[in-house]
Amino acid sequence: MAKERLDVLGEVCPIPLLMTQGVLAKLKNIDVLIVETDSNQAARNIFNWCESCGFKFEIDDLENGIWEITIKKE
Amino acid sequence: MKQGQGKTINKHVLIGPWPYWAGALILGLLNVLLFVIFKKPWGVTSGIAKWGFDLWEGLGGHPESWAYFREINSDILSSHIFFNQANILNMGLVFGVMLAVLLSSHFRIKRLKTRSQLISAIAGGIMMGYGARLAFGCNIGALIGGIASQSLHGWVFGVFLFIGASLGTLFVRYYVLKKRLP
Amino acid sequence: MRKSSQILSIILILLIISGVALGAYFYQKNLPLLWVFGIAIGFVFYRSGICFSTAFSDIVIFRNFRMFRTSLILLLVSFLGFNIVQLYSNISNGSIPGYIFPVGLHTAIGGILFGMGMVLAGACVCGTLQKLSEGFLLFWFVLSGVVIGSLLGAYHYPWWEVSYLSWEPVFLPNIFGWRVSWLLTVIILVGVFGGTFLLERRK
Repeated sequence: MAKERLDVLGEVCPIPLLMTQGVLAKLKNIDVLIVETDSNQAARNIFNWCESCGFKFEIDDLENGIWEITIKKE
Repeated sequence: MKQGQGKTINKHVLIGPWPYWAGALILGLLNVLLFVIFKKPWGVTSGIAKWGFDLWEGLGGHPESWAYFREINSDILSSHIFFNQANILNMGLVFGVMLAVLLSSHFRIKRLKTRSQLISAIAGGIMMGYGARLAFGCNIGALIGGIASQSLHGWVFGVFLFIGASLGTLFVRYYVLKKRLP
Repeated sequence: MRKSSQILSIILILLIISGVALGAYFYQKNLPLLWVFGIAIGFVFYRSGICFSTAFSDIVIFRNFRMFRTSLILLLVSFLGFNIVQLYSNISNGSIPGYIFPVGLHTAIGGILFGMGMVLAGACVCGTLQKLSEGFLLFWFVLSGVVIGSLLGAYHYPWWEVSYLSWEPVFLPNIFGWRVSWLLTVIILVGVFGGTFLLERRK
C-alpha cells in the first residue's frame, strides 16, 4: 500500500482542499493520503469533499490544533 | 493526545464541532436579538473603518473632512476608539473565538509558509476593505444585514459577491494547480 | 499546548473579558451587553466552523452547497426576525430601522472586489478576526490590508457616488408593499435553498 503525506499546515481554505484534490489526481499510484492541517474549517472542508466523493476517510483530532485526515482511495 | 485511533472527533458540546445548521440558527437568532435591543444589525467592517480613521488621523491626515465620514458614517467622528458599539462587538468576537479555541485546546501559532501567501493576504485584505466601503458592509453587514432589512443593495451585493468569489476561486485553483503541487 | 498553560490562558482570557466588561460599563451602560453578544457570536462561530468564503468557493470547486445553505439559513432567520421588528417599529413610530443604504454601480464593484478579496485572503472580515484569534499570523496582514483598504474606499467613495450611477436607498416594501415584499423574499430564499439540492444531484 503506497502512502503519501501532504502537509498543508498554515494554509487556509480553499488551498488545503485544492492541494488535496490535486495530489490525489496527480499521484495515481497511491492508496492512502494523509493530510495534515491546522485549521478546523479546512479539516471540515476536506471532510465535506471526501463525503461528497464517496471516499473512505478518517479524521484525527490531535488536540494540539492539528487535524490529520486519512483518505483511502478505493 | 489521541493518535491513530480512527475517527477521534470529540463529541462534547463545548469542545466538539457543532453542525452547521445549528450554528447558523443561533447566529441568526443572536442577530435578531441585536436588532431588537440595539436597533442595529450585526456589522463588522464599520469597527475596522474606525481604526483606519484613527490611524490616518494619528499620522497627521484629516479624515474628518472626507465626505464619507461626514455624511455616511458620522458616528465614527466622535466615538471612542475602543469603547464603541462596533468595536466592542468585534473584540467580543475575537475573545469568544479565543475562549472556544482554548477550551478545546486547539490553539496553535500558525506561521507564514510562503511569500505568495503574504501577497495574496495583503491584496485580498485591501480588496475586501475597499469593497466593503463601496458596498456599505461585508458579508454580515451588506449581505445578511442588507437582505434581511429588505434593502435592494443587499441583493445587488449578493449577486456580484457570487461572481467575484467565483472568479477569485478560479484564480486560486489555477495558481494552486500550476505552482503549488509537487 | 500543555494542560497547565491552557488553563492559565483560559483564566487570563476570563480576567480580560471581565475587565473589559467593567470598563465598558463605566463608559456606556449598554456596552457590556454588546460585549457578551460578541463573545457568544465568536464562540458559536468557531464551534460551528461557519465560513462565508468557503460557502462560495465550495460551489466552484466541487459543487457543494452545504455551507451556502448554512448561510441561507442564517439569512432567512435574520430576515424573519428583522421583518417583525421593522413592522412593529413602523407601526409604533413610523421609522424603519436596519441597514438600508444607497445602491448603484459601486455596490456591484464592491461586491466583486469583496468576493475576490475574501477568496484570496482565505476568509471574509469576520473570518479574519476569527482566524486571527485561532493563532494564524497571516491574518494580521489581512487585517492591516482591510484597514488600509477601508481608508482608501472611504476616501474614494464620493468619486464613485458622483461619477457613477448611484440611487437613493431602496427599501423593497416601499415598492412592492410589505406583504408582497415579504413573500417574494421568502420565496426567493427558500427557492434558492431548494434549488441547490437539484444542482448538487446533477453532478
